[in-house]
Amino acid sequence: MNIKRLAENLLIAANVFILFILLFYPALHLPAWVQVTGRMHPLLLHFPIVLLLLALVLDVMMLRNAALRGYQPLISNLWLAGALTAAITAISGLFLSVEDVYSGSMLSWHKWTGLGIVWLSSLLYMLRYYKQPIFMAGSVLMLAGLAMAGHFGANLTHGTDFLLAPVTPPPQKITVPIEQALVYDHLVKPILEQKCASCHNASKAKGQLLMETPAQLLKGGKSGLLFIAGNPAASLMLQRIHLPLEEKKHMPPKNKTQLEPDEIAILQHWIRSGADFKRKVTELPAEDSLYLLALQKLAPAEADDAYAFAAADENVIKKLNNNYRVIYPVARHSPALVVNFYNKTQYSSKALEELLALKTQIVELHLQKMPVQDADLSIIKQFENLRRLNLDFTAITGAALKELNALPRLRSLAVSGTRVTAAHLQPLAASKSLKEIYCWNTGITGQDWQQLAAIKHIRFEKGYVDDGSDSLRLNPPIIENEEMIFNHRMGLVLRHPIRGTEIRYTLDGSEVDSLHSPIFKDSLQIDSSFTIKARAYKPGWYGSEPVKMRFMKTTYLPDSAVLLQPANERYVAQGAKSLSDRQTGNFELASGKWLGFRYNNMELLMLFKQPVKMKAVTLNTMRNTRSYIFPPQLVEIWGGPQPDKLQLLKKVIPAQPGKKDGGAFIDITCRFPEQEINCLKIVAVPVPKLPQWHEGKGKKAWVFVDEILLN
Amino acid sequence: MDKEFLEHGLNMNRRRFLSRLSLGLGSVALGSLLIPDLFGGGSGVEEMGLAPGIPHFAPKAKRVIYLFQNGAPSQLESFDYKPKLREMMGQELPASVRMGQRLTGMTSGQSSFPLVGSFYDFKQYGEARAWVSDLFPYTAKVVDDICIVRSMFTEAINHDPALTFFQTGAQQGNRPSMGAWVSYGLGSENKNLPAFCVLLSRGKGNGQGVYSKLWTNGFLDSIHQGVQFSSGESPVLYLNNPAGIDSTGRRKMLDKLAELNQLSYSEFGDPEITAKIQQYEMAYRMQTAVPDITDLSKESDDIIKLYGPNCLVPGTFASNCLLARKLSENGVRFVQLYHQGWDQHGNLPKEMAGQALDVDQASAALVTDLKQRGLLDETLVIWGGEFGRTNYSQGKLTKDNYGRDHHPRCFSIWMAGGGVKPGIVYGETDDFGYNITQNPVHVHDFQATVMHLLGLDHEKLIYKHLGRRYRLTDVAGTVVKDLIA
Repeated sequence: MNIKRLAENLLIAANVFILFILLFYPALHLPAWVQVTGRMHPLLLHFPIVLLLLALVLDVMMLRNAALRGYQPLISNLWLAGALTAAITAISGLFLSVEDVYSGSMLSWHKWTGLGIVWLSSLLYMLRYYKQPIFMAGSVLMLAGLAMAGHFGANLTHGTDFLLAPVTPPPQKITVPIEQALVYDHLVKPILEQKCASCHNASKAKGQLLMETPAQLLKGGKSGLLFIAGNPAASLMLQRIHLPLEEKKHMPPKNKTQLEPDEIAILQHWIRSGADFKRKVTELPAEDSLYLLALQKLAPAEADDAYAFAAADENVIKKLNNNYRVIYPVARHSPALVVNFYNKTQYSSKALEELLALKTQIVELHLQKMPVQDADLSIIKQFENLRRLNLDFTAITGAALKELNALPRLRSLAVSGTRVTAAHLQPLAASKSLKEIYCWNTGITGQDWQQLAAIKHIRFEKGYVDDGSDSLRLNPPIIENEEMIFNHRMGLVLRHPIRGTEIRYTLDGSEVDSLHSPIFKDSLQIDSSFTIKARAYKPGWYGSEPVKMRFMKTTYLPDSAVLLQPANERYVAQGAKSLSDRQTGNFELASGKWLGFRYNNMELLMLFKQPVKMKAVTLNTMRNTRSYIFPPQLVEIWGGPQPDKLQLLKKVIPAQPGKKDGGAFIDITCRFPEQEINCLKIVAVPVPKLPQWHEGKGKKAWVFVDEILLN
Repeated sequence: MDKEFLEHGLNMNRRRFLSRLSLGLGSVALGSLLIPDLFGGGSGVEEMGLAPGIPHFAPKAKRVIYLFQNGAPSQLESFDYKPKLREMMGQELPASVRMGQRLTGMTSGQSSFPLVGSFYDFKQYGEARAWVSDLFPYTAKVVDDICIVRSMFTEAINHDPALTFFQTGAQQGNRPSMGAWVSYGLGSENKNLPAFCVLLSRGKGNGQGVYSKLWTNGFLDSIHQGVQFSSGESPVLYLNNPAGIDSTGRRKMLDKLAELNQLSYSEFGDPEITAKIQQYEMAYRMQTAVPDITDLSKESDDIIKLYGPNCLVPGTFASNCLLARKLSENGVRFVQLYHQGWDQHGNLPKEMAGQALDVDQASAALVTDLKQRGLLDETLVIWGGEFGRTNYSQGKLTKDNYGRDHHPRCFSIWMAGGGVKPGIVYGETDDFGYNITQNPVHVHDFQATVMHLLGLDHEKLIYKHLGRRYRLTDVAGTVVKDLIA
């Protein structure tokens, strides 16, 4: 009982305290710890709501059912607890309001409805059984008060749009033409409305700052002026925006939607340019950052990404889908469909017509390289939601293109590589939706482009046209013959990958020119060693660099050959017969084409069953001084009727390389008076001591030979 | 008596049980309305993320052509203009700039790190006034169509890990390549061609290898593996019918084989068997589709001039670019090119000029060509290497010769089309071209962005393997919204 009395007394005291605070509200100055109790308001407010509602419900039940009379003391206690916690909540709320976090009309409504609850619940606690109508009226009033105070309070903390946001349509993108747009009205204001005004408005006015009208913006808030025109760095608004997110004074506050980088840029540039409220966008200089941002922001909305039609029947899609007509949704859960056609032999008007079962859902149709005829466009124009149509390299003439104006949402059309002319495209200017037409490689010529350029709302993609200004060098012709050694005669074949090129050549190693050198045709029969030089020419191109290659003839093949001294064990190839197999090697030593000698001479004996008339022997050797490979110091050619009756026919001392000579293939030819022989001995002596300039000076050099030619 | 009443109350008869249950069922049904996909296709894949084969949201790009510059082209001779390096030519790299960045084994022994500026001049191009070096005159012409990112950085400092990182999101091998992920996530557009194709070429510069692990399917189904096209007479190996077998014979054989495979599938239920059947079928369809695509002889003179004369020489970068365009326009999701030879540790001025000559015209041509066909909007083109190169010289610095070592802290790439903002230059490095000062883009961020452009949420495209859920971006990556138009 004592506790109940104490509580009743407290209730009275609290009411008096509330009246006192209200009376002296402007003079209040709260110590810090009291502020803490103020901030407990959002926690405390739940108690009176629950307790008062519970008491009310029990009271009503009791009125209808006399058997519950016994619960009356409990109900009374609930009323008391409810009224008391309401009072405490109100006090904490008043403390909180002193802190100046919130102000404005929303706060007043919340405050006075809240106080109404305190007083009404206190009265009802004492007077509720006095007369039933009074109780009923009071109860209804209190229910209304609880709902209102709760709602206003929630609006204060979460913002007025919080409750209905999920069912509120998103704000429409401004569709003001750039010529009429104002910098403040159409660029700055929408940002402030979306990101600032939910707290800085007449009903909430956080920090005593309102941001709804130009006058309010100029007035600023509790912390002073909002901005200084022309000086973004010194402007409070931008300082707050640029504070780190964790910072308490960062704006918008951490848990609210943040400004996008381009929005910050707009605010910054607006202040920098003088924070004018009346200026038109078109009055800005064309390179001005603000102008460029405005172009981006005010670009007409692409209002087609939401597809307002129902999805098609899965089974229909499945039935129409095959390897050459691929149908797939734009994205998961999207009703919109994309269709690609592949393989022109599988295409027919019927294949297109069958798609009409999906005419609402198809938004993209890719028909490039299919034999689409003009008549097919009358099918295509029925795809009412079509956004993208690709007719590149189809068989259309263009005459029927105007039918596409029936498509209300067609945005992108590609007709590159068709016979379409400018006259065919002109009627498409009537389309309200078309944004771009790709018409490279069509019948449109120089004059026409200017005509088309007059259609401002459509971009015509011209693509790359070779107007002759871009002169490139052709790549050299390709020599098809792979083996550089031939026996009696060879058919030389030259080729160039690019159509219509002219190949001119010389066979004596002299320079090729585009006027006098002969033109290569199909094939060329040659029967002696030669060096081909060839260049490619084509109108509109620079002539190519020359390609050069030496081909060598060998007249005789020995019936047998034997090495009198062995090749080095690492480079033996196929033995002596590798030297007359017409295979030449590259710089890869271990390719199996090269025979290498270092510690002994090369001594090769070649035998012929029938005597042959010979006048020259050529050794194909390698030079690669870095790998110690030098030409032989001495070459001797011996010949005669049989191995034990040989005489020296020729002795040659090849030139030795210098320090700067790189890798090369060198043929050493030994000529002698023509004579009949049955037996030939070739001796090549490696350089015994590398020269002084060489890093391996004094050591033995290598000799590498891959082929020996006999003529 | 009370006890009996209580008992009665607690005992439930069937009618009461059922009526209560119906209420319960009702509320379950009500609850299920909030979970749209509860009863739709509860496959294992669904549980691991979103169903593959369809983008998660409306994509900007449908296809990717990735022009990988293997070996790491120097950003300082291409897109990141640093005049200060020329002014400070030969001076020591300040320690305050280097900040302890690790070095490769190739320069860690070097006693001095002399700064070296670009041998080639830079000029500004396009509306974005982007700086491009004289080595890339054709790229400079399309600067308004591309987006240059100068603030890429990576974690690896050597080629193989860096390349593997770029391609698979992890430095060690065995993860699926980007193209395989895309194939898994979006499926094949054209059922007559693989979803992921690979083309190789090689320049004369110092080269680094590429290995098939870079286009592996990893733990994904083997149909997602990259198919390498070679430059020889038959671009896809083993695709042609052997001599003496015509296509009807081949068809009969495949039908019989499919029957047999189907039998063993119904016996064992191994999904690899159905994958096999599908692959045989696709190979059969490729027999007609591939020769048509790889035949470059019908390309017009304008196209040849656009891509440059080498575009008809098989195995060159230019020819691969042209082929890539053809594959892409025929619905190949991911065409991956590699051009080797960008590893300029020495002899940079000469070698880089050769490399740039190989790729510049054809890369720019690809952008122009896609654009004039109306395909650039839906095709993402990416150009770049695996890391950058140091601002100091590796080896001896002379007036006209120097080299640059590997540098992971900043490098430049470019992207075009496919929903990327055209004509912008993103990110900035310091005056030394050593550290990023603005808008860094990590390799995972880049991958997340590419996936986003394709309509794939990189955090949701997941595959469970060996008890762990894997994704391309591992556990990192943020979509760089600033790059998206």
